Amino acid sequence: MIYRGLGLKEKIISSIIISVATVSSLLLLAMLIFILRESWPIWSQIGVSGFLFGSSWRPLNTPPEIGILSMIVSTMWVAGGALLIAAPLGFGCAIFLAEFAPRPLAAILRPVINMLTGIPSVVYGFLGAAVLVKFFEVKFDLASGESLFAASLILAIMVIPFIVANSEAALRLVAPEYRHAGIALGVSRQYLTLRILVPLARKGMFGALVLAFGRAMGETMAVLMLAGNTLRLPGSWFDKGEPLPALIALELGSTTPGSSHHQALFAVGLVLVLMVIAVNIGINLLLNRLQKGG
Amino acid sequence: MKKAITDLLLLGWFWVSGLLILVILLAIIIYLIWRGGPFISSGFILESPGGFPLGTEGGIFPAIKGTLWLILLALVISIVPGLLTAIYLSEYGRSGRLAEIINLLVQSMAGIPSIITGLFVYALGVVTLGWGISLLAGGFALAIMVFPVIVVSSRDALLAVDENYRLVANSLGVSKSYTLYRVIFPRAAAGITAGLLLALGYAAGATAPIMVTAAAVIASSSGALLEPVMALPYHLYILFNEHLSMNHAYATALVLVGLLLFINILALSLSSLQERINRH
Amino acid sequence: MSTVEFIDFHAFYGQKAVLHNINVEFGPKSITAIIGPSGCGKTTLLRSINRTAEMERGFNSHGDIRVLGGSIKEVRNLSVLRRQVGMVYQTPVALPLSIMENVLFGPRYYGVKNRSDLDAIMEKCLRQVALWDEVKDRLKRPAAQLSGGQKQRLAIARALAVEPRVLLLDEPCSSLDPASTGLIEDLLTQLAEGLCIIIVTHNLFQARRISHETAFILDGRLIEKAPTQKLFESPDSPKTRGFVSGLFG
Repeated sequence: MIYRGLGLKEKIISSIIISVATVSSLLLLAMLIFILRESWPIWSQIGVSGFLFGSSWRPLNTPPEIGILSMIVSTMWVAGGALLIAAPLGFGCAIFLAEFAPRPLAAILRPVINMLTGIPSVVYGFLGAAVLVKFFEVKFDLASGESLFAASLILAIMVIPFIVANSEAALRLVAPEYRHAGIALGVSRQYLTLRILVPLARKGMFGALVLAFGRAMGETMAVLMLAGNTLRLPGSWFDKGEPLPALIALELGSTTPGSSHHQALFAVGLVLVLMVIAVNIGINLLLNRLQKGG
Repeated sequence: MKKAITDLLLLGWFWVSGLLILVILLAIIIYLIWRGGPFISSGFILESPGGFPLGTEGGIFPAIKGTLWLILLALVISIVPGLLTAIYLSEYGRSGRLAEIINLLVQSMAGIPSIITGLFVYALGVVTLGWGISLLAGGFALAIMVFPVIVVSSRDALLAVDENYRLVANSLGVSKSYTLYRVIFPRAAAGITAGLLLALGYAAGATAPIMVTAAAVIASSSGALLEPVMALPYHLYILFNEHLSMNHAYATALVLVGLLLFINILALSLSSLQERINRH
Repeated sequence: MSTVEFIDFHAFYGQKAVLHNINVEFGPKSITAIIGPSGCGKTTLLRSINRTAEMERGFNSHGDIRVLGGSIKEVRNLSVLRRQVGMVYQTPVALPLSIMENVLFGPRYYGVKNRSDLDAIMEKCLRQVALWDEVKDRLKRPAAQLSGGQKQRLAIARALAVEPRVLLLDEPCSSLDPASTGLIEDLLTQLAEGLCIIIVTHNLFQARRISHETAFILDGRLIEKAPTQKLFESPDSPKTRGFVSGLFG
């Protein structure tokens, strides 16, 4: 009888654990559904393509003009540009750490990477705005130095640690035999690394890049402080723009619940989440195909 | 000859990008100390913002207090679900179908931009439930944000515990919860604590979610759940954005970065302690 | 009456069969050695008895095993079965607790609370494995500080502390030096006065030295089980002869 009693207690404990785990993880779906519900009127009134490809954002007009094309383009410029800058440096650093760094230096650099991820985005945004933007203004004699490019530059610094940490992990997973074999052949370590190790680790390194892209797309404070916040369609990397997260952060507090403005911001949120999720899932599928092909 | 030059260039690329990381961190810290250090005093830490407009003089005490309240509340809300989910994944579900789904959900949650979490809590807490812009809403938003961090770090710390302990305990017929409580959890405690600290640091630096749910330009940050609070990262944003005081902005950034680096270093030393424990 | 009885028992990992139609009995108060080449299914057979085999992914079985007359498949609560059937693994495992708490890990779970009862159990079990004199002055020190041989004896004491009727050992000496091995063999012989002991070993000398009966398994099939001396000296099956002949050169 004692044993059966203990079994019951354990059953209760495990069902509590299962339910808590399930319910808290379902929060993600709850968030998506909630945001979808809040934004529903936008989708039914303006329609998906009108919302995504409309280039005018005047939610307070009557009738409201609600299109977010310029914000989507800004987001892509900012995040894509950040990767363009961060990828060579991040990969270089990962390769350095995994293959070339002297041990004591690597032992310093790894915690440094952790600390860089620990610095909050508002500080990066602040320093970018106070130092970098000022520098552009003085150097190029601009009225204001804010631009998508400035935001990309700071975002690049913010995502480099993620690229480094994940791609170094991928490089380290490559079996040591390949290194021994390469060294035995007498090729240089650089050749060995680029021709053998990197291709073997490409799945993980690509994944690191995608993760960084997702982060850069969703990052709010730095772009809010650096991208210039204009609602016009940006023509180049050096124009000003207003990425999606900045739009939400700037306007949410001033909306009236129930207004189309309010609903539109939730639609913006939904688009942003779906973009991030789509990038992650799409890349996973692509990688699986690559895997099979290779 | 050409080959040698390529090799040299590659080596240069690797070294430069490696050292760049170090240079960036040092540059940030040194620059903040240089620009903000002179303005840090006991008055700056312990007084409320003053002057006109508010913030041009005085200190940042309510912002420090508000940040502490926010991260404390975030931890209180997220710690139990976070740990139980980690325990489910490492001890109960293991490689089952449900565990796979939960793992996927948690991973996707980690990728959700923090402004989205803010948006959700704004609609649900601030508007629908009538909390208003408040400490409660901010703590809730931050809790959602750090939940996946807590789950993943605790799960990994638990999974790193020697599988033999589970085997032995299992063959004695004792329950999973008993094994967890007597052996696995104490063994993973350092790693789990490190993860909790990282989560705290992450919450302390987050700006976007509290900007739309909790933060006020000026507030007493008394700890009342339904009142808005000041917070360090938001205060920094306001000081800069409203052109209140660059000096105070640098000093606030320095305090914030100092706090976070302190938490970070503490977490790092705990996780290296955990690694030493695991090797034994 | 047999203590452990396999009845038409088959085991699979996924589609792959690892044990074919095993029918065998293990009696009380005896040591049975299970021998066979690596990967023949010895360990699966052992782990099927206390149902730890099913923790592996894809494990599946049909047929039955009876422990003390009851079917293991009808056990309501696994802890009842696992308390009856103790198990010692190949790698000596000291739980990250004190020496004392290692022994008391099971008893505390099963509800022994009284201080003097706990002390009595601890001393009895440590004496049974001849560890008491070595550790009585440092019972509260971490068990991790013990040597490999001591840890393995501690593991046996830990298993004995919940008063099992059967003790399963999976190559318990394969990572130990000869002196520790000798100690463990001696104590197994003594324990057999009250227990059904089943030991998987790849050391044929060890099987010969300590076991009353020996079972030979090949490719998941039980080829032969006989009194140890008979199995080694005049086995019925030529396969057994082939395997044990390595012993005689």
